[in-house]
Amino acid sequence: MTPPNPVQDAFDLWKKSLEDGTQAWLSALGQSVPAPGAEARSTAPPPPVDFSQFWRPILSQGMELWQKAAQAQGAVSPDFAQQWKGFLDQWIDVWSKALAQAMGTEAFAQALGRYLDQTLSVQAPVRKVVEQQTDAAVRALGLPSRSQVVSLASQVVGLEERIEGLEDRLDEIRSLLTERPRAPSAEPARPTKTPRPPARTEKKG
Amino acid sequence: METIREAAAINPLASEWARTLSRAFRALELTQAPDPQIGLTPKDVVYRRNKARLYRYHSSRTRPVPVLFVPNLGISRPTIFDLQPGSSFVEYMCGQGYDFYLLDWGVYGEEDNGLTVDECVTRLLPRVARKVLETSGQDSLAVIGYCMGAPLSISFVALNPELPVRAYVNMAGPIDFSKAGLFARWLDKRFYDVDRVVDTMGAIPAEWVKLGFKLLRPTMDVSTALNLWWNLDKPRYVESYRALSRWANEYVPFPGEFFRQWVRDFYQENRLVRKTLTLGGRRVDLGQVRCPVFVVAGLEDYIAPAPCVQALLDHVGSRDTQYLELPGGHISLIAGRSASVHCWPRISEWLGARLA
Repeated sequence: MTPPNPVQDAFDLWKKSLEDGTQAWLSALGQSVPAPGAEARSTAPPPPVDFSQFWRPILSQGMELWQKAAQAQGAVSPDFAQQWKGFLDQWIDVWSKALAQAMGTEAFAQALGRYLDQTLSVQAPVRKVVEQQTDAAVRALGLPSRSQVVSLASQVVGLEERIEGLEDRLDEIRSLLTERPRAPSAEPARPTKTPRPPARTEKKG
Repeated sequence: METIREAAAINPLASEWARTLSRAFRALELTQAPDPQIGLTPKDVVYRRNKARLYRYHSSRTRPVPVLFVPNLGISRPTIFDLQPGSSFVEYMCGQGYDFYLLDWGVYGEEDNGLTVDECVTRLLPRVARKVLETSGQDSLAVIGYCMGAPLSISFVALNPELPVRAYVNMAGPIDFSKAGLFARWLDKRFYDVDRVVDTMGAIPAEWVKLGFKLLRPTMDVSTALNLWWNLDKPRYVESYRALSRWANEYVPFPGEFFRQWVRDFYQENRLVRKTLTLGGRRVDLGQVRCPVFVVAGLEDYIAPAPCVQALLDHVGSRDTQYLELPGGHISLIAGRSASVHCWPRISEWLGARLA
């Protein structure tokens, strides 16, 4: 006689419950959609869909599982919850690996790229309109616009950078005078933006 | 006799029900509970520039050579490194007597969209290193790079061979981006037009960063919720979960130009290991790194897979190198019980031997 294996039992019952649940869903949907020709025979409205049919088998089988475990072990094992947890963890792990495999394909990356492309196509004009309207609204109220505030903040950041540049120079001079080993100085101040390719202009004619 | 057996059968079932009920009540309590405090190790701000802050933590400083910790820029806040008393990497290192510094890059706004990788490596990091030396009164330091902080800080070390770095630790930092897993695949330049993204969006919003990371492990939220449910009756677990959860839900945006350069130079063109990365007008050559190097990678790290992290050892010019691969993912090197038992003591031990 094979020893009782509650995890395997749980898995079997879970599988069965899913199959039964699917059947329940199908039959529920079948009830709501009258069969061809049925309308001619009866004009009575279809009975309401009983969605509890989906859960009933799962719940009843859950009870069955507890009973089975109780019969197998003489009592419900306090470890059973842990075993069930182990089963769920394993199930999630399998899904996780399967998804990771699917998401690691070129087809997925391509689909993701297409989705991003579509999102940006929608985002770009919307953002522009929202920005323009917000700017116009705050200007009408005599308040600085968002872009003006951002520009001012950028100038403050730039100013801080310049002051730091001066401090660096002073440190360098001080270090030369004292000849102490020190960390390398920062690169001389440069514009902070990455050089961008020049804007494309279309030649006419 | 039969009654006793029945009672014995009912007893465990009843206690399981009681546990389930207590979990449910605890779950209800959690929805009302205030956010836990994180990042509590006492510290001083010794340098600030724009949004960035350099923290020096209080410790006995029995090991005088300062240790500079450089984490990722964007994505998340550095509170994960000092999560809670008893489960904090910062606290652990301070407890070991290290003079520990952490660079908090900060949360950047629209006004910082011009910030680049170049600027971080060639302008900010030199100043930070200088402040570490100045405030510690020492003439050498050790550097730990975590996640994105590793390629940034190792580029800085490589560009400045005269820099008195006594030892370098790469914790889960991607180096060879051809082995960078799902992110490398998704950011492939055939499918991902980084210029269009940055030109349209300006900065990369925190929601996008969150989406990218959630997509990396779609089942993570389910398994986290399940684990929480099973452990709701364990106060210590719940406390750690809440602290981690607070950190994990606080995503940080990327400055636009930084993101452009990061994706293009590192992910799409893998310039760091191809020796074509130029920062501040100078080529980054990892062969210039000659100090002892220790690399720690997580076996189940999806963000920076172990081979991509380990690659650092193939490119540095150091003789004293060591590699450690630990079970777990990206975060399990820096937070959690496993990290405090398997990872942090090894780092402390390795550094201690090199900084003595």
